[in-house]
Amino acid sequence: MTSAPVSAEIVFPDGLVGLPNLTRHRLSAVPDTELYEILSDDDPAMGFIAASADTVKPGTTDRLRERGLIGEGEWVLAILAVHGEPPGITANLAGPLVIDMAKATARQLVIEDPEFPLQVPVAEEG
Amino acid sequence: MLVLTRRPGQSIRIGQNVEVRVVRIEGDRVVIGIAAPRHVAVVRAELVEQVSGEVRDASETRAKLRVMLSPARNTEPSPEDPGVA
Repeated sequence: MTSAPVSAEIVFPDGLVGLPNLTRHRLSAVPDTELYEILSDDDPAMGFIAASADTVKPGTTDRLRERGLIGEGEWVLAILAVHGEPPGITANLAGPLVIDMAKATARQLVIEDPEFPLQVPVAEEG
Repeated sequence: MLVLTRRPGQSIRIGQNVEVRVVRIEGDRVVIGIAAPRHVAVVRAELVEQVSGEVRDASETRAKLRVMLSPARNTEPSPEDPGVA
């Protein structure tokens, strides 16, 4: 598994899914957590928090590699969002981010498979 | 957009490596088979829209998420804390 960076500039050559113009981002570790914040340099209003896909669902990286969807040394993050009432945190495994730290590039996949849901419950407010 | 008419069992080639075949027609549904290299993503268009919407939702709820993940929020107040009655 590729080690996580503290902070790095990352280019998504094709942008994000549905947002092709958002190509330049900054990825940084959220202090005191195992999370990462990704902020768009192209649109300051756009940004999100993500977790390692393997933290959300162990073995995700291996399964994507077995399917030929990611290469050696690539690192996979799942974008987190808040949904529902009471609010719950979900992780997006249907659209994971694949990051190549050596090249400082990334891409977002879209995976058509129930094993990779759009909203995986991570936590709910009690 | 290129529009073609095909019957069940007939197919369309896209480039050198992608084949789309009409498997059968069931009422108002068309069952399609797609043969493509592993690196070519084959997904329903609506899933792409859903993933895009999820990215926007994540951006819009980022501040709320930060609050929910805040360590202070998950720490029980100490009786010695001057703010605790």
